[in-house]
Amino acid sequence: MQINPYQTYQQPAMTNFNPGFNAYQYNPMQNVQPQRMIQQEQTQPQQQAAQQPGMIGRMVSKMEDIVPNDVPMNGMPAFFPKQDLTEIYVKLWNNDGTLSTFVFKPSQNGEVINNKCDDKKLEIGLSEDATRAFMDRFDDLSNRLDVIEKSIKPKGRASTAKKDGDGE
Amino acid sequence: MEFLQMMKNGKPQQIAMNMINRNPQISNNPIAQNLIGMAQKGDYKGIEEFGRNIAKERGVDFDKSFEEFKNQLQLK
Repeated sequence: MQINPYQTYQQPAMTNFNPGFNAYQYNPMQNVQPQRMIQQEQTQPQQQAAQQPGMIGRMVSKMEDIVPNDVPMNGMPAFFPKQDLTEIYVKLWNNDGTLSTFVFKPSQNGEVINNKCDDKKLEIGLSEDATRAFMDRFDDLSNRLDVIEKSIKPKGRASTAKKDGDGE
Repeated sequence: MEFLQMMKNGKPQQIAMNMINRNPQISNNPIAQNLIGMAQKGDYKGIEEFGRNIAKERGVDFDKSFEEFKNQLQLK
């Protein structure tokens, strides 16, 4: 009679494995997945509802960094604090399709806080129209000076010529 | 069912407006409401002005973009 060494080895393994396999016929993942889906469905509307009253905007280094796409077209204002916190720009779309910009500056006890970069701000703060008006005025003045200069020069030459003639 | 009833009873323009106004994103949006109001009144010049203003703010040539849009829809 031959002894099969594998017989004794295989049987315990099968008997040990089977209960385990039977136990996994109940798949807990089957129940967990739908629960997760339901949880996601429940949390998504909450997140959307929570986003509505929140502030919209981002930090910017200068006003020109703000693009119209940064401002929502639902009438809500978007806030853009400057990185050095010297100004806060608030932009919103008007009903007529124009974009309004409000600039808020920091103040303490009703007084506007002066910053080191005030001179720079003044330079930047001049609008293009104001600069153009100044430049037009300067051009006008320089033109007038040219006219005066031209009107004076021939007389001066004539008078010097006369003087030369007198001298001879 | 409700849609079918609307189709039977209402005008197409009215149906479209009702459907648009039911969308909370539009009904709570003052800009969209202004546009719808203009459309209902037939103020097409106002709508065009709105489009021109938006194009100007975004740095887009309105006339050029509108021509492209019409070409896409083959309205020419």
